[in-house]
Amino acid sequence: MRAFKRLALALTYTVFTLFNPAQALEVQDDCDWDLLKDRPATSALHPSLAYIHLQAKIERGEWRTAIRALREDFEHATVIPEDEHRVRFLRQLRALESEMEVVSASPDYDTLLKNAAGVRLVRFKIERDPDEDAVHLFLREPDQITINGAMPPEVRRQYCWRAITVNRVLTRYGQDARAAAVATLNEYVGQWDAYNEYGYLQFPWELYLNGKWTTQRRNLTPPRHQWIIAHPGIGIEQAGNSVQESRRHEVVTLEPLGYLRYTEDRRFYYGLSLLATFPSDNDVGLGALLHLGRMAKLGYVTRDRDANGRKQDAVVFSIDLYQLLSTPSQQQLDGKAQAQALIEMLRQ
Amino acid sequence: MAKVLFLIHGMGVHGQDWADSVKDKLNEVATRYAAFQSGPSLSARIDLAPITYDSVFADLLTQWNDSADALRQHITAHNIPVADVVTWLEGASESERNFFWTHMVDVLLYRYFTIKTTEVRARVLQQITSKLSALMTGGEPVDASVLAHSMGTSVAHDSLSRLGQFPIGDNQAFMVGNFRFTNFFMLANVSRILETDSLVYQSVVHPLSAGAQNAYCSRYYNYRHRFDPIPAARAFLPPVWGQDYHASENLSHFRDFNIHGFEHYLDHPAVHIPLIKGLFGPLITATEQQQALDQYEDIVADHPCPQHLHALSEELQELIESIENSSDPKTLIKAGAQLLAKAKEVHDACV
Repeated sequence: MRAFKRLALALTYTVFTLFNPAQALEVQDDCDWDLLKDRPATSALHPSLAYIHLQAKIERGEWRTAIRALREDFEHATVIPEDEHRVRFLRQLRALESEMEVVSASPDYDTLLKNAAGVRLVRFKIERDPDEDAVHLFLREPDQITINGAMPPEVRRQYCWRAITVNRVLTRYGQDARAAAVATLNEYVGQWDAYNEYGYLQFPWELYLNGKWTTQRRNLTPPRHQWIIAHPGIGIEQAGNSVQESRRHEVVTLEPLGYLRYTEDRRFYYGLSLLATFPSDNDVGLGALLHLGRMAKLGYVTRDRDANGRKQDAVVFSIDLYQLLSTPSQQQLDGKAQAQALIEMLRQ
Repeated sequence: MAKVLFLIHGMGVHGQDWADSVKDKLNEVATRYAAFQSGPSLSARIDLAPITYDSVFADLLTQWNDSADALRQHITAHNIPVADVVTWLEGASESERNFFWTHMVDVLLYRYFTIKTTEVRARVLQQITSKLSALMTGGEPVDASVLAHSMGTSVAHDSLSRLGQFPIGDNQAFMVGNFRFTNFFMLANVSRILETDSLVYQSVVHPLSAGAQNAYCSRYYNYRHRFDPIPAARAFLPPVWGQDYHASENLSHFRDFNIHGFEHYLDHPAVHIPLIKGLFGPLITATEQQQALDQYEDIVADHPCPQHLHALSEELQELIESIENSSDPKTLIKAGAQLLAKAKEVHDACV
C-alpha cells in the first residue's frame, strides 16, 4: 500500500511537472526535502534511506557516531570532485563532529543535550536562492557553497542530499530541547492566564507603575509582586458594639498603598494594604486590609467614637470595584458614582 | 523541507479568523503569475500560521470599561506620561477617537505598559515555538518565515529577538546558532519607533549579510508606503545591512482608502513578488516581475473618485512632513488615528 502511494505521488509529480508551464527549478527541487520525500528513494544517498540507515544510532542517542558515519561516508564518496567545495563541506562536517565529541564527552552531557547547548544545529541549513535556481550551504560564511546548474546533477545531489540528511539528524538532535522550551512557554502562558483570572485587578496607573517596578521586559512571566497604589473600591463595612447593634453598609474604599505577593502559579496572592473607608454617613475610617486571594479580603478600620460614645470601629470586607462595575446593580451603580466622585476628588 | 509562514497582525481587534483575508490575498496575488495558475494554490504549498495577541489588550480594555473619561482621569491624576495623547483625544474628532480606541490604544498599551508587553511576547513565542516544534518532530527540518504588519512588526521583532538572543530558562533550542528563520517580511515597519529593551539595529533580528554569526534570519524585507504616516515617524532605515536586506520604501499605490492595510501592502507587486520568491525561489521569472511592476497602476484608471485619492495623498503628505522627524512613539499613535479617520471619511465621501 505504501509502495502504491509512493508510486501514485511520483506519477502525480511527473504529470504535474510535465504540464506545468512554470519555470522549472531543477536545482532547488533536487535540494528540497519536502519534494524529495515523496519521490521514490532508489539510492542509499537519498535522505530518506540515509536517515533510516542512521535511525538505530539516533534512537540510542549515538549522535557523535551518526555524524562520524556521515563524515566518513562523505570522505569515501568518489563522485565528488576534489575541489574547494569538497574541502569546505568536509571542514564543516569535521567541525560538527568535533562539537558532538565535546558535548558527548562532557560530564554535563544530559544537560547540554536537554538545553541544545554546544552544537550549532543550524550549520547545515539549506538556503534557497530567491533569484536564481540555486541553493547555498553555509551562506555568508567563509565556507559558503553555492549549488547551481553549473554543478552536474550527480554532484549536486551528493552535496544537497548529504546536507539534508545532516540537517535531519541535527533537527532530531534538538527535538527534546525544543519540546522542553515549548513546555516552559506553555507554563508561562498558564501563569499569565492565572494572573489575569485570579490576580488583583490593577487600575491603569497601577499597571503602569508595577510594570516599571516589578517587571523587566526580558521576562516572560508575570510579576510575583504587585504594589497597590491609590486603589479605589467598594466594600462592606460592618460596625457596632455587638451583634444586635451591628450595622452593615456599603462604603467606598481606598487603599493608598499596599503590597501583594503571588504564588509561583499566580493563582493566589497574599498581602497587606493601608485602608481608608468613606461611608456616606460617617467619618473616614482608617486601617488596614488583609488580602488572601481575590475572594478573601478582610480589613479593620478605626474612627472616633460617636456623640453617644459608641465605638465606630468596623470590620471591612472589600469587593473589587471592577467586579461590581461589570455586573451593575443599583447598589453597585451608587457605589460606582461614589467611586467616581472619589476619583474626581483625588484629581484635585 | 516543510515551509511555514507566520502571520503577525497589527493593532486592532482580530478574531480567530483574522488571517483569512490575508491568506485570500496571498492566494490572489500569486495567481497573477504562471507558476500559480495551475497546480496547488500558494496556501497549499506553505503552512500559513496566524499568530494572535490582541486578546491581551481587549481583555484589559474590557476591564477598564473602555472609557476615555475614566482613562483620562486616571492618567491625568497619576502623571502617566501619555497625557498629551489624552489631551489630543479631547480635541480629536469622533472618528479619530473611535479609531484610537479600536486600534491605536493597542500601541499605547504595548509600548508603555511593561506587564502587557511581556505578556504579549510570551504568548507570541508560545504560539511560534509550539508550531515549529510540532513541524520539526521526527527530524523534519523546517523553512520558517515571518510576515508582520504594522504593530505586528514591533511585536515580531521584540519577541523573536528575545527568543533568538536569550535562553528560555537554560534552554537554547531556539537561539541563534540553533535556529534561523529564512525571511522576515515587514510591512509598515514600526519596530524602531516602538523599540524599548531590544534595539532594532543591534538585535539578532537582522539578515546574514549584516552579521552572519548572530543573524536570526537569512533575509529581511522591509516595505513602506510613502503616504502611510504610521511607519513614517522614526522610520526603520537600517545602516548598511548588505545584500540580504531588501527594501521598497516608496510604495505609492491607492487601491484602497486605508493605505496602511495589510492586504493593501500585499497587493503591490513590489511587495508580493519578493515575498513569493523569498518563500519559493524564482518561480516568478524576471520577465513576469518586470511586466507586473510596469503594468501596476498606482490608481486604477476607472477609479470612481480619483480626486478624493489625490486630496487624501496631499493630506497624508502634510501629516507625514509634520511627524517624520519625531522620535516620540506617541506621534505614531496620533498619526495612526488620524490616518484611519481620514481614510474612512474619504471612503464615506466616495461611496
